[in-house]
Amino acid sequence: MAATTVAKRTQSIDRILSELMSLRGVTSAALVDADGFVTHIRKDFEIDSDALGAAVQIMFGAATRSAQHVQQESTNMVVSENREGLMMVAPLAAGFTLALVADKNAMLGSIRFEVKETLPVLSRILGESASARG
Amino acid sequence: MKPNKEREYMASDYDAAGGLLVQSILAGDTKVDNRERLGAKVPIQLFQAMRLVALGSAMEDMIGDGSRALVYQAGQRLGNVLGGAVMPQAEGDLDKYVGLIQGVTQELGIGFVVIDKVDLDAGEINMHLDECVSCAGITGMSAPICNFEAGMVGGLIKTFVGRSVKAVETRCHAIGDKTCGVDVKIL
Ligand SMILES: [Zn+2]
Repeated sequence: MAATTVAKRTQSIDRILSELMSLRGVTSAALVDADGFVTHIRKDFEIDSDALGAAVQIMFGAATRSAQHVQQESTNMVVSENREGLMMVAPLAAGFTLALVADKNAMLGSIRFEVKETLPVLSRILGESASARG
Repeated sequence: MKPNKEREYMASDYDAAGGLLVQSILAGDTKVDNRERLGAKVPIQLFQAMRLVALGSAMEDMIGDGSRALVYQAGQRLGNVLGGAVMPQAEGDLDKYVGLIQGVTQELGIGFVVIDKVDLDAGEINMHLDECVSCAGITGMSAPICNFEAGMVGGLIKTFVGRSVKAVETRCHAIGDKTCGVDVKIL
């Protein structure tokens, strides 16, 4: 893929992640590839991105497998409600996942709505770059 | 929050055991306690069972596509540990570092590490592993299967350069290539 195309794609992804970060309570938004690498991230605090990326893919993989065990088919989103906030993970094209971290001020409904709106856009960008790589 | 005592205990035990293991590897121990009759070596098939079943199909069964990340990160952790252990002897010299790694990987029977290209300005290192322990004797696969080794190479390079890297297995004996090739991109 040409360098300008990569730069444009990165710009588009960064803009989308920044928009997600502007939602109330959201403290981090990241794209994680199939090997558990954080390829793009916007964050308000220090994160061990290697560890986060792997954990996100494992979390999503385990939820997907659990859903299959109870015949609930594909997994559209995984939400982990934690003492100090929440995490949301959703699948994208080409094995990527979107991971959001939010604090206690977050409103789950509005984040979920925005994520659902954003997923097809991100998937289209990632899908295009995956097919460009061949 | 109440700490999970059991989990902390397990993690520290594994860390401690890993530390002992690395010491033993670096010392080149050929004798291991409590293996008087069976000795220090095990058949390659046992390693492959651990790698391809325990850390392969079993993981896939439990966590699906998440297993790819888990296996890569597990390999990367091992690369970090081995790299960290030989780092002081390398004195910041990449050739020395690679030489030390080649010695360890050969001694452990992981395979023969061969460096194909180093371009630190471009942030690229390409290498291959001849006689790779994970996929020797395995044929007819649809995609490279040595994600653990790719992660290990990633961990080794990451430790040396002190930056995040991504390693990808580009060739694999299991899909008909002569060797297992790993391309590393320094991020
Ligand atoms: Zn291989």
